[in-house]
Amino acid sequence: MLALVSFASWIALALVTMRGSRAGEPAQPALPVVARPPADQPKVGLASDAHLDKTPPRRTVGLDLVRNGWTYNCMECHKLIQARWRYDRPMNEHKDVKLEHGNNRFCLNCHHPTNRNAFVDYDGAEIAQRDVVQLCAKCHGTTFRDWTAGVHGRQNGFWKTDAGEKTKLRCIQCHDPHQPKFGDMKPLAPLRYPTRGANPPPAAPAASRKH
Amino acid sequence: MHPEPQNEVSPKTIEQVYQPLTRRTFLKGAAASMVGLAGLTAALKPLLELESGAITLDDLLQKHYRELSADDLKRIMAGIADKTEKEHGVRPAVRDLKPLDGVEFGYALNLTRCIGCRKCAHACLKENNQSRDDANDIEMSYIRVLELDKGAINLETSNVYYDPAKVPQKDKFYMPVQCQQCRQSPCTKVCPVQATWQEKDGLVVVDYNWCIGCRYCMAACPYDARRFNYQKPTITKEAINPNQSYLSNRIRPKGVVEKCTFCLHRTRDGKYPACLEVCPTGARVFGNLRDPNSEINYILNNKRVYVLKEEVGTLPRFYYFFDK
Amino acid sequence: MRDYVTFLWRVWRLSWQGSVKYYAWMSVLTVLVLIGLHAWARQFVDGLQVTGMTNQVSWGAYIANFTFLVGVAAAAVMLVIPAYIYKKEHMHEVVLFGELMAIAVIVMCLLFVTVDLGRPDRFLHMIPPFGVFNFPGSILSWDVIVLNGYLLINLHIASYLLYSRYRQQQPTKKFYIPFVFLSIVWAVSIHTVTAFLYVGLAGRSYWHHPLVPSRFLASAFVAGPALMVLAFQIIRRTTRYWIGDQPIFTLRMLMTVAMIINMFLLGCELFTEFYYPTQHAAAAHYLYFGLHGHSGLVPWIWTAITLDVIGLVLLASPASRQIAGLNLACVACFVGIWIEKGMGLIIPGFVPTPLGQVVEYLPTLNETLVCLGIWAFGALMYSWMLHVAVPIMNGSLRARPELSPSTL
Repeated sequence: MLALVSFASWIALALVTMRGSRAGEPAQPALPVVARPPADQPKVGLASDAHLDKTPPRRTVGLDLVRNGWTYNCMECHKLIQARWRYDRPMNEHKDVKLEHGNNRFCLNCHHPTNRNAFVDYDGAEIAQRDVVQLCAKCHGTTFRDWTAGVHGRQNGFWKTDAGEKTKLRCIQCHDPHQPKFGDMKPLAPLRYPTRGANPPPAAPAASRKH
Repeated sequence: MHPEPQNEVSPKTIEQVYQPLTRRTFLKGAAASMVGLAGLTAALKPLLELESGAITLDDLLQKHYRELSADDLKRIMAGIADKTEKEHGVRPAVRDLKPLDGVEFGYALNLTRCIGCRKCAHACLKENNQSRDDANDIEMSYIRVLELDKGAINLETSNVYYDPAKVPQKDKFYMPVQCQQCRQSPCTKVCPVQATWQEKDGLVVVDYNWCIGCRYCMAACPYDARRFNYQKPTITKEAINPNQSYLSNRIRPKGVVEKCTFCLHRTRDGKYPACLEVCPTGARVFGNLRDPNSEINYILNNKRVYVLKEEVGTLPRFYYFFDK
Repeated sequence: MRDYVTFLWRVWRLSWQGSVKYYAWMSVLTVLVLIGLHAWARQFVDGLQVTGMTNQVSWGAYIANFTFLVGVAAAAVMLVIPAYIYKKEHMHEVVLFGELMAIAVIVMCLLFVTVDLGRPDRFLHMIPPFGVFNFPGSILSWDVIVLNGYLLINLHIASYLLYSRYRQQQPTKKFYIPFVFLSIVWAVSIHTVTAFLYVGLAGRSYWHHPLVPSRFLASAFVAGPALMVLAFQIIRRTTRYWIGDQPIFTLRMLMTVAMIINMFLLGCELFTEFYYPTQHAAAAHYLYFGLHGHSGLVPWIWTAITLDVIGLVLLASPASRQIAGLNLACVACFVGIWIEKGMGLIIPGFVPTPLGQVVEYLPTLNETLVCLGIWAFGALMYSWMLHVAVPIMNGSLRARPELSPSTL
């Protein structure tokens, strides 16, 4: 299903962008090669802890590139598209992206203008996708400092590094970079008024909940 | 006022006053004894329902954990594994993990980050094999997540039953509370039989085979961190975590107190505790207080932390802080 | 030695001799004890889930009764002090009955602690050579020592005096007078140590209060004598041992003073909790007015306060110069203090929990039956001890019946 939608949008995108293509370029852009290995996001915690739910709290809005391993080569399309210096009319493909990230007003605050597979540094240099933390650090200096120290964000696995691997999640594994604030969550089942306790409250919260 | 008669002393002795022992009185006595004996048997009848192996001579003669020889402990742990296998159909690996040298555990929790999702409280159950009626019964979980009104840190108006569709709620904040592994732990001080004590790495543990179940420690704890096995623990086969240790998450006997040990069977192996592993927002920071470069020391040195109920003088190894 | 065996044989024989009324009374008590034993056996098999206690309220009726009864046991000093320090002759004729009551009540206390244990099969862990005794750290280990010590001291004094009386000999002072004085200090200690059980818990602000031990003693010195006043009247009605009004009215005077002090301290406590209420007043608020919609203890405590006030008014007024008025005062004080010091002291210590959770407690039927069984056992013990002691006291059971009792 996902593949179908994605395929359809590629076609649409291709049609839209054809108008902007320069003369001499092939009219039909090649479909992206989905051959890149999945992005090397660190794992969360230990494989032996299968009984624990370690899912990061990242929002899932539309096609979540990070969750799905980001296997596209962005430049397959973006080599056809001019960099746009405003964020007023989202592209067809990215219209589910809602930018709610502080003062950031348009894509190229973070994405590299000429290489969409990378992010942009202060001086216009490229920041590789795996070094996304460096991008975030541009603004979030103190958070980056704490993350480096291991007290912001999630570290899992081994606290004792000579006993095993400590996995350290990158910013975008928990935060959707376009909407970094965590979404609300459904809390897990609450404590119940003890069965042996006398005079349970009439509207016991446990009773109102259906599990 | 009544007249005050003097106590006249009876000139007769008891043998003269009361009937001598005759055949008749003997028979009456025998009949009464039979009735009494029958009554006693009836009264004690529930004891017949005691399952075999509930109390064995070995249990009764077992010494305190800290007085056990390595061989005895090995034998006892094998017995625990046998019993779990027999009753639950899963053979756990019961280990005895000693404190690591140069390690003292500390925990910090970022109240700004906590969203009250209760994942920690539920993970605690999955990790520590607590008794539960069903998967959502977190009564025995070592973690209570409090919902507090913004504007104060008033535990007295906290709510543990909160269950909105979404957390965090706008006007609330959330505070998970578990054993604070106090340096001056009131629970270990009051235990009449030293069934609970502080280990070298600061963890307060319970010898479930030594506890007499008086629950004085529960009365002493200012953090509501201890749980009592009012019944024989109930847990399904699928729910059992086979990675167990003697002092932490092995299946507990009935009638003893249990508590958070910072997942001793994980942390003494170098792993993080289960509540930290599942915390979605990274509100939890755990580490070695004796290591100057540890994460926990970074928090203590760089953040402004506070401890819960400082006025009680418990000197917790669990810290709370507020930080983005 | 042979004399002593004969003595024991005679006591045994005597225990089974008695009127129909004696048999009826003892049978009723025995049935209650057996019902209690049955309930406890059920609890032993199923665990403490058969009680109303929870993780939040982890002590209940057992510890409440225990606390109250330690006070009753300690109150034996209210007879010992006038008898031995102020040398009141008339108190000498009843002091033994007070000591016997202390013995029966201490046994009840020990039973109440035992039934509260989750693992009574491991009670040996508390007894020094077999167990690991947390002394002097744990106040509970102090309590084990002082309670058993008090039991032994009173057993020694009572049995020594009785045996001397049986042998028609004057008791040798050095064998018991030091213990009598020890028992005075010890009686205060049992109740103070029991109060320290609670006062020592800084995490429970309702208990962590310097007034608690004083109130414990003051209320104990009302409840204990109240029970004795009633018991003495039963003794003089039903046995051939006459107890005059004098000791009873001496006790009335002591009770009046103790009750005034008790109510004064209660007033101090209420002022502190409610004049400028802090978070620490939450427990008192729960007890007297209810908290967050939970008000299970409110009727109990107001009943207790009402009974206390009735008791105080009766005691302090001429009404209690009549034996009927005094009896009414005694019943009111005894029940009032039982509630106030049992449910009224123990349960609010746990409500709200240190984290603010309100879980209410009420004893279950099974729990109540266990309590009833222990009370019946105490009554059974005391009745039996009186049944044996009274004939010894009035000379009808004596070592050498051929000698005239007047040689005593």
